[in-house]
Amino acid sequence: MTLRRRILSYYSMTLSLSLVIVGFWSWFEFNEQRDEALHGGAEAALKHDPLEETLEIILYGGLPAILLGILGGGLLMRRALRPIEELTEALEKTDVSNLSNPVPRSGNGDELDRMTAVFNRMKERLGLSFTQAREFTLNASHELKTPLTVIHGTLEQMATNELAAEVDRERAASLLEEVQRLSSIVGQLSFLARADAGLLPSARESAALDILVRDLAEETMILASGAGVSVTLGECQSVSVSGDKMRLRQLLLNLADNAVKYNERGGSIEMTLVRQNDDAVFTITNTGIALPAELRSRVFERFFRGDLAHNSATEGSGLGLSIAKSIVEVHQGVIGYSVLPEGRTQVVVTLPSPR
Amino acid sequence: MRLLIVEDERKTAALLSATLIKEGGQVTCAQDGEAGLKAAIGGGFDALLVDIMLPKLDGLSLVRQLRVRGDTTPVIVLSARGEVEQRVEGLDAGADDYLPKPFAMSELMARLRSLLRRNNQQRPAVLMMADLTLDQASRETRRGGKRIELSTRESLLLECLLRAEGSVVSRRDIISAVWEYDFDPGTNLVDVYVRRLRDKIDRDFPLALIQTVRGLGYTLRLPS
Repeated sequence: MTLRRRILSYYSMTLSLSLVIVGFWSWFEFNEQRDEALHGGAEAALKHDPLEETLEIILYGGLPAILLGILGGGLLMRRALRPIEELTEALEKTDVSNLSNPVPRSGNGDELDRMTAVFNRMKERLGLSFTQAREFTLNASHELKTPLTVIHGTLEQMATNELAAEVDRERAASLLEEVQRLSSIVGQLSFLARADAGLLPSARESAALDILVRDLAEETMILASGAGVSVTLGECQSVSVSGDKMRLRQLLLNLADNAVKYNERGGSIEMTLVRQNDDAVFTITNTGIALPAELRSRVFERFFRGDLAHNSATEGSGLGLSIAKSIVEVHQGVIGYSVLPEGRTQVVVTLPSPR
Repeated sequence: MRLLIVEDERKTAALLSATLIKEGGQVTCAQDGEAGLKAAIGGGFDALLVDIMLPKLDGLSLVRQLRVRGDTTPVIVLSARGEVEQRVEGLDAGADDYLPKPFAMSELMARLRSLLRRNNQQRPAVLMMADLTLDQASRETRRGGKRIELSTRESLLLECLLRAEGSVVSRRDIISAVWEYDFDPGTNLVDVYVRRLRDKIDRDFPLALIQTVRGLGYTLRLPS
């Protein structure tokens, strides 16, 4: 049955029911009048004011009919429209993670069922292109690794060939550095592709985040000393999270590296780790030129680098923060980027740490 | 040093054998898993280099079958699929080491050397190069008889360079030896630490031992 027919039939049913009630009450009133006329004569019948009778019919027949119409009609309409609500809910819940689960169909062939079918086909196609994009990155990064090994090895031979001229060896060494940069980008892309495909190993051990943060602060001090940046570790509460220690180290080092790279001589970096209810909150704040407001929402995008960074001699692929984000997500956490009113840049990582 | 390379990708195989021959090895190549297994069973190799993705029989099955037969020849597994989980799989199958592509030939040579050394059970108590010594037990470092104080990381870095016995150590190998990171930290951590180590062991002495080999890494040897 089509949706239009269903609504029409519910509507007629309610209307008929109301008519039956009004009809019944009128029949009752007329019957009463006739009975009185039969037993008490015309005089008794004339006692009844027609206006009063009509009012009675409206009051006792019409009002219940209206109430019934509202209640019953509302109920029936809700039943008729429930599939639309269900479909809307399913649409609202759709995201990248559930593209492969189709929305259940009623199978009755009405407009909504057809729409669900169309939606499911769209979801399927979307899922397919997501998978393809993911697999493409994964395969592309794998396919690049073998040729990179051959190029790297050949350049190594050239760079260390004592028979070659010094200038040629220098050239080979310079190319080697580029191949290493390329290899590092390929490695990062392959990491991201594996994270997207849910292939990151989920070693769920208890990791003392405060120890990792203390190590990081020490390492960052050494990294930053050459750049003339001071590092302070503020409050560092003892908090543990469940996860992969190696990935958490990678996450922290990534954030610290950014804080050093985008800093300025004489600047500072400040880190804190605190427990907030059932979360561990790590904050890293650094001085340096802040990103313009319109670019801030894009910092976690792949290959995103603020124009500032492009102009300076800062090295980096623009994948560091994307990697940080995917590690945080694997650990069911949240990462945020903001610029404080006084112009310092702040990254906050919140990881679940149930007591 | 007799080595068997099982690798179907011709250019990689050619490069590997050229490098190993140059380092004084005798090399046999096999282009698929079955031929590789047959050659390995034939025996007489000091070490095997096995790619994971191979026609006919994959590298991990090859290693497994070899281990089932009681063959304990050291095996290094090479793979483009890469990284942590494959490393675990490779070691579970019975491989002794795992090298993810893309790798440097110097890294491969370092792995081979340490693997063959491990087999010979040689472990000197004191590592030395010229007048520089590092006592592995007490971590005491001396140059020209003068005691030098190093932090834990600096000491690990020095150990890693000394162990290479004059060969070049790549940044990646330094990172995994000193920090035990399985990832590319994307920072100049290694360069910063090498600078600190230089300040301590080279600055006050006439001959600098730590050499930068551009594009390849660092090495500890007397300047030529």
